[in-house]
Amino acid sequence: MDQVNSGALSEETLVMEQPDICYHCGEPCGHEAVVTDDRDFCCQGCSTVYQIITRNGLDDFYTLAEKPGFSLSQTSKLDYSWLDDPETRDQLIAFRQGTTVRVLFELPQIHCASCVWLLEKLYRLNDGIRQSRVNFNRRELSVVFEEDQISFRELVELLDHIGYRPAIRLADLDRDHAPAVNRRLIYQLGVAGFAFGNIMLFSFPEYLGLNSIRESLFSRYFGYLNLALALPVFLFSATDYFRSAIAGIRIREINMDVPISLGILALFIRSTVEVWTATGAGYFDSLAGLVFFLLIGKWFQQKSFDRLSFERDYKSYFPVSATLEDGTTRSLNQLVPGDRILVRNQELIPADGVLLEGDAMIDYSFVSGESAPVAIQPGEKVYAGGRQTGGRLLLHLSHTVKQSYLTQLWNEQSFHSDEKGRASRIARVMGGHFTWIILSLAFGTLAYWLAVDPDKAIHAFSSVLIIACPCALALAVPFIMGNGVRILGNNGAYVRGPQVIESLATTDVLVLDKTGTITYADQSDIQWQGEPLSGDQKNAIAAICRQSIHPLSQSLSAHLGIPPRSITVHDFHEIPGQGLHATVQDQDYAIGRFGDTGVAPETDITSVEVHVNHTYVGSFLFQPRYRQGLVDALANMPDHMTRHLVSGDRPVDQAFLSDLIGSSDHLHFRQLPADKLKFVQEQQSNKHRVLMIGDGLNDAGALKQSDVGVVITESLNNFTPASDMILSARSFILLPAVRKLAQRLVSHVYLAYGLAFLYNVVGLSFAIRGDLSPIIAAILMPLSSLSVVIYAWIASHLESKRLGFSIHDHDQ
Amino acid sequence: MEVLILLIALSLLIALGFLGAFIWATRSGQYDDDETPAMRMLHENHPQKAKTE
Repeated sequence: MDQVNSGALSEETLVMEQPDICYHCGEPCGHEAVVTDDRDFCCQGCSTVYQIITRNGLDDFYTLAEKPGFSLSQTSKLDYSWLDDPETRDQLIAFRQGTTVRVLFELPQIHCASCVWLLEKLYRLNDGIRQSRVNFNRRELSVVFEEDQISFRELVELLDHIGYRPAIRLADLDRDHAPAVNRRLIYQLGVAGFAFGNIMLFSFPEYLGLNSIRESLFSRYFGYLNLALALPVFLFSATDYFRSAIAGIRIREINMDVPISLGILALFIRSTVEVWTATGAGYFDSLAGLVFFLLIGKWFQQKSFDRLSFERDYKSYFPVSATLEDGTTRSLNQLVPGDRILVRNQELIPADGVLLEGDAMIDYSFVSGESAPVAIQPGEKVYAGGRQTGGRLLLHLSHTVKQSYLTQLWNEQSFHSDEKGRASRIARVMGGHFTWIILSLAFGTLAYWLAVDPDKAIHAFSSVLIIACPCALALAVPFIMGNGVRILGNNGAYVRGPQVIESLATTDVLVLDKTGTITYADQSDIQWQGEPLSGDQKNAIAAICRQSIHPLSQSLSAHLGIPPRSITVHDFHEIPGQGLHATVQDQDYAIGRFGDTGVAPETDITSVEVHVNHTYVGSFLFQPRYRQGLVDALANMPDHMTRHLVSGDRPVDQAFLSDLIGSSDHLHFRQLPADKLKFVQEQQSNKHRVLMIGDGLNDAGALKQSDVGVVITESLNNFTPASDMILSARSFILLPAVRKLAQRLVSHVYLAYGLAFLYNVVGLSFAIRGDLSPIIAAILMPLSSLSVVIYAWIASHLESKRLGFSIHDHDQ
Repeated sequence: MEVLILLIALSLLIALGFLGAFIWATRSGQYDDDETPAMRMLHENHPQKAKTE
């Protein structure tokens, strides 16, 4: 209680010290602060959310975390009327009984304890909401509500209103809502752990050598108990290893699970025979321990980044529905050629078509890599995936969504092949070698003892199989790579799985996309070329640009800042494809592209001319802004790694880029998505292993084809195409270190293998002589596993620290 | 000494009870989400303020 109060207090003092910080989201308020209840807000949206929250007695939201909200100034209103369509709605609903409906939302904005608290108090905002539960890891909210009191659409609007905009995508319509949690592994682990503990207990007389003085009744009793306990381990917990081994052998590939299965089988049969014939105590403790340790390794490795998806295709990028000409909405799956649809500002074009009406200014940067928006005249074609920036458009569709130019890319071969197997390559190769070694050792032992002392032959043979079972080997990859995956994740580099680290270590060609990857997609450096502008002129230009929603006008007005309120703009009109005309303080301004410039700006740079009173005064030049740390990151990449730039854009800034890449021959411009894919394939056919870094849908094919495809993203909430690794933009500088860490971790896997092998040599020396007793096995096997786990832990942490990674999660 | 046999059977029975509890916990979804409950439990005990306005 005290803690909460002091938290509230410090919150308030903070607000008083810095009056320009938004009380809701913590963003600076700027000139347009909204004041509610004596508190500053950066925008109307934040203030509204604050009011909803406090008016419903949920003030605690602001005491649980510092500045728990997020700025709403950038978000535009969305029209959710399409959610009233029963068919669309029913596809999004998880469960319905009478009027009670359960639905699962993906809310990417969930980021702190306050979010959980607020979202689970939804029932206080609307009486129709029965219950709401958050799954923080998956950024999901499950809501149970009464349909006759609050409609699905109203629920979505409520969530949007308080700042949590549900991510409803085309993919949701095809998805089933099954939880992706692997409970089976948890059951297996529990059963194995249970059996392990109890079998050890019942093996105590054996460990202490008490059997000689106790009558054989007890030892037989314990033997059968152990057998009973080991049965579920053998039949349930260990089944996945048998299955994987058989699957491997079927495709003529011996993986690590083959020797493991051999060992488990040998352990079980030998122990059962010993107990049955009352010739010994068996190795059930080793069996249960082995399976238990193996499963722990598996569980450790399984931890993944639930909130991130590495498998997304265009369906996750597209919205669920489109607006028809008459204002009704239709699910995207039902759009047919011939439909006329409306596309508003910032909306995506869902399918290929022809522009009928409107000033189209289409941003294809995400789908094609072109950095500048393209002006389209009525009658021309528009392609799916482009984003309209500007007014409303009317389109006549010529294709369905699935057959559009962009979505057809997904029919390409590389999107369906899954040759990048999920299993660790090192473990596969080692497993193969290892199996042959122990099989030849086992049969060698068998042959030797058959000749020397046939009574001992089977005993020695099974002992070799038991002791050589590569438990420690099998733990090396999960623990070293699993740790690597976690540590990288804590540093903003999220990899799909441990095998990605292995692939990363061997890459030798770096392929970079340009727009959005090495440059910022939505920012550019603006330079003025011409006569110096006076302060009044700057303000006038800023005021005029603020009138237009053209992207270039918007970035210009952002660049020039907010003009004083005293400036008024008269006679404003915008000529599509040309520019803006207006009168400010009795001066005529024309801003845009008019074709007759006094100076010829470099042709490859986007520019905006300014004419005052019909005379040209100069141009604003828009240079791409390169990602912070780009030069350093590339400089830290090893020199022998060849670099290529593959961009969908026209040639720009070639001098700087060829310096960066190392050679002007390695700059490839105007590459279509299919060209990029082909480029990667060519590199691979020359025995290169490609590390590709991209960001948009236009890179999707090449990313998938690459040995390691890395997607760079400003925000983890954004859509990212299918990839092996998602790199948060602020971690871009870490890229060379990530690759270095990958290489070090791979060498540590080999060292851990060496360590495990040493134990094996000791054990085998007993086994080959036919002297392996249960107690030696019971000591040696856990000991070797533990040593490997400890080694893996220390090695991966030390290497990460040495390379400057932080071990702990500071992201959330 | 034979009473040991009975005691051991009993101990195993108790252990089986715990295994059953574990399976029940897993089945009821307690292992599905291991992060949110940790946040939730910090909130639940907090005294609720009545609707103020």
